[in-house]
Amino acid sequence: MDKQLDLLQGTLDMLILKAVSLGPLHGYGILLRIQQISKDRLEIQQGSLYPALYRLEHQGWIASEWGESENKRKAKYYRLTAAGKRRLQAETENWNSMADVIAGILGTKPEEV
Amino acid sequence: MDAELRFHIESYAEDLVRTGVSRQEAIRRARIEFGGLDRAKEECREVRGLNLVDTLIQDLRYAMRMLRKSPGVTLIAVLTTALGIAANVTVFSLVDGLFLRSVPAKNPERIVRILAPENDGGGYFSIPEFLYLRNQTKTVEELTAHYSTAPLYISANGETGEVQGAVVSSSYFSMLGLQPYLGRFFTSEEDSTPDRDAVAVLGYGFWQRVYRGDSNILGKPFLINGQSFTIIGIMPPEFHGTEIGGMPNEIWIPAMMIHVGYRHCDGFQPSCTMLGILGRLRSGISASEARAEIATLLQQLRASNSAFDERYGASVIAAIGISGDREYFLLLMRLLTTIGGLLLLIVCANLGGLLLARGTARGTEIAMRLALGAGRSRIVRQLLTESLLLAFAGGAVGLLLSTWMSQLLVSFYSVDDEGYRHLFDVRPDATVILYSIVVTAAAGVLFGLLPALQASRTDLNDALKGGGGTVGASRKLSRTALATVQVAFSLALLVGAGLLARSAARIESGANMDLHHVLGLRLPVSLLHYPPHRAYTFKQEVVRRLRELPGIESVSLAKGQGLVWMPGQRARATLTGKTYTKPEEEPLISVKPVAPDYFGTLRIPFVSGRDFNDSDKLGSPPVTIVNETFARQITASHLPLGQTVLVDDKPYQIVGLVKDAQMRSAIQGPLPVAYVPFWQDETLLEARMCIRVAGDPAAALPMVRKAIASIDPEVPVTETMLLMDQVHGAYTDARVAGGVLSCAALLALTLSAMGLYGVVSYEVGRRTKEIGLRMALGAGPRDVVQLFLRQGFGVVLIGVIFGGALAFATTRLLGAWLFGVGSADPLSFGAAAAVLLAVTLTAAYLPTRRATRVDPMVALRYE
Repeated sequence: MDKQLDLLQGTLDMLILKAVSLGPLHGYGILLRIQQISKDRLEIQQGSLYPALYRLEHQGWIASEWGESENKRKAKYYRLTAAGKRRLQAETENWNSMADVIAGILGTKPEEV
Repeated sequence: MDAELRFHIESYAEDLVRTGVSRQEAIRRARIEFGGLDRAKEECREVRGLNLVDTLIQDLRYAMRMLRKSPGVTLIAVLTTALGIAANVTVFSLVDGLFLRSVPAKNPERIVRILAPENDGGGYFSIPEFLYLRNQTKTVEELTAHYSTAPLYISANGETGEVQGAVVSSSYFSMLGLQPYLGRFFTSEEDSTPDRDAVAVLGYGFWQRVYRGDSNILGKPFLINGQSFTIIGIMPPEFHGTEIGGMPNEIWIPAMMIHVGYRHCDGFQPSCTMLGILGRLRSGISASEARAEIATLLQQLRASNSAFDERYGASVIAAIGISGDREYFLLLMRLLTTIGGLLLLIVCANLGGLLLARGTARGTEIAMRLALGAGRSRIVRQLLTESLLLAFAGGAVGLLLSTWMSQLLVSFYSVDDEGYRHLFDVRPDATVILYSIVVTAAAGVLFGLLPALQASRTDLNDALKGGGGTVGASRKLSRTALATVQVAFSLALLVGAGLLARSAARIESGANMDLHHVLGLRLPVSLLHYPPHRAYTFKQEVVRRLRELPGIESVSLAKGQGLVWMPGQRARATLTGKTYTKPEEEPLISVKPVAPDYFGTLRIPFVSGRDFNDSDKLGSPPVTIVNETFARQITASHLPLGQTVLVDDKPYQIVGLVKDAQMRSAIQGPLPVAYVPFWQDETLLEARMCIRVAGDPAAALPMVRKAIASIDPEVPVTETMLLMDQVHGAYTDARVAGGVLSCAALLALTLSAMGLYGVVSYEVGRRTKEIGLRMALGAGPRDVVQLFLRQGFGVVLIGVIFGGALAFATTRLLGAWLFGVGSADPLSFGAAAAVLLAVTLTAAYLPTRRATRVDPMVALRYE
């Protein structure tokens, strides 16, 4: 396994939104899915997950509902709302443009200045 | 939240177990990896934001801490708010007590008053009319008749005196849902036959006062107007009758005993109308249905017997508010409402300015909180909580103050100008308390919102760099605007106070009367069924006897519905020989029978001719003394002596001319008056006496009473009052309005001065560096002062202009109380403006003196 990268600030929200966009999940499930799609390269602090979830819910990007888990226990499931979907799109675009800019700056050769 | 987090940990633990870890170990590791459960919960809570109640409590605690930090400012703010709210709530208490209270009864919602105007406007009923209605009506139940202003001269337990009684039908008690405190009320059997059942119910206060609460008085007799009545019960305490704002009743007797309580005509005649009628609307019936039915019934009654008065419709209205003349109070209420509103606005402007200043001072604190992530709305909410806390503290104090203030205001009306006591209940009830809460909250938001919004816009960079931050242009403009508003409103109040003060001074001047040292009283001989001749000689004897008493300068009599010094009855008059095509064109005058020495007693100056004397008696040629307006209007000459005039078609010869003697009224111009000799008319039963006393008239009263009693001890001496007190009573409104306006103006002026002082003072403090710079560059103290004074002067000038306009628009409200002074009187405006300028400019100047003492070196270093 490659060295685990530290999660950049502010990106946890984006990742949660993405994870949930693929289908409703409970908190633990979201954690697993992020780890899964990142191929275990991201380390997520378990303690910071739930505050982020609550914040996202408060802001209206995700909505929650109590349901039954795979092993028949009560769990709170989160799904993406329409507004959340738009937000995810916007954040993704933002991220990509930012990445381009930074990459451009970092790739400048001395003679291009 | 708990369940969700637990599920997470357990799921994680399960996964660990699946990889081979023992269950116990798995749970342990899961917990550790997750981190502190409580901390997670805490963070979640914080992110979600505390719910509303928790936020509120947090805000309140913070607000209290902030307010405690500057106790001086807080105290002033609370007091200021208290005064503003007190003024407002007081006015509302009065409005509530006068116009919104229902008759004191159980379930008063369906109780209505029934009125039916007759020829002269009245609206009262006679007993036969009442009985007919009671038998026939299907829309109103428990119809009750009452005459609640019966003057009953009683003799009980060794005491004598006049009390206000009520003559009521037997359903009175059940309609109101009253329970006797002791004994019982009269039954319908006892109220069925005229003049038979002399039973009486006493008021609680009367019972305590006269019988010392002796519980053995049931069945005992006492005298009312010379007739023996039996006490059968005691009213519950706190019940004083059905008339709101009326005279408190102390004795209740059955309607069938009307002859005892009402003397002006025979109460059982169809046209002798004096009763008010109350009743309960039947459920399902509306007031207009009842009205139609009553009107129809009255028409039928009149059609069957023309002895009944002609009626013009009927009205059925909810029994709420004063039953008497509303117009009388409405005017004053309107003025008081305006004053209360203006004062509250001034208070809000003042506090707004104060809070704006504080917001600036707290710039650092607010900037820090903004930087730490608080949302702007959160800051605004917290600051608003502070304002509301201030407001409610002030509101509570204000409510307490208002109970005292409303009692004070009402006490001016507690005795009317005939000496009768009135009862007004202005204690705060649920409506008043609700109103005060609403007003307090509104005030808190009004003066707190703007500063809160402004404070939350603190520029982070400036504030955090220290120095409290610079004040944005908008904030300075706000404070200046608020100061200007205060100045403007203060001017309006000052002008009003000035107008009323001038008016008060002119009430007595030009009246051509001097009523000081004059005692007035009334001898209602008709209460004792005196025949006219006996009344005549009795009164003559009284006048003769009183004249001989030591200290009595002069004694006289006058007849009049009004007071001794007021104009008399209306009549028509013409010069003999002059004819009018239509009788309505004949001029209306006032006729007043007066005894000799009337003019001397009241110090009304003669212009020419003579006073009435002993030769003007029964059988002598009818003569009259007229006033100047009469001479001018009727005889069209200045020398009317010797001419004969017809008053109501009776000829009188003019033997004297006096000056117009009339207290000023804003509504009425001078009236033409013809005085006729009292002793030339034997049918006059009632009379009011006026007695001029060398010293204090009140001290002479016992002597006068004894003298009258020595002639006939049965005759009650009533309505004893100093004429000057009557005059004051007649102008109570003007006096109350003047007093209130003066207090309000004083408060407003103080607040405006404080507000302006604060604005300028702050500017000086803020621009200390600039001052230092200027002084270092050669500016003298006067230049510095001028710099700031210009701003203060600007505020005052604009304030005066707007205030003047406002005053111009609103002083029309004072119209009824301005005597000989126009509502745009330039002298009052000028004086008010002068006072305002003096006070406010001083307030603006004082802080500038601080500016001149700035040491340039210190100032320039001041950071």
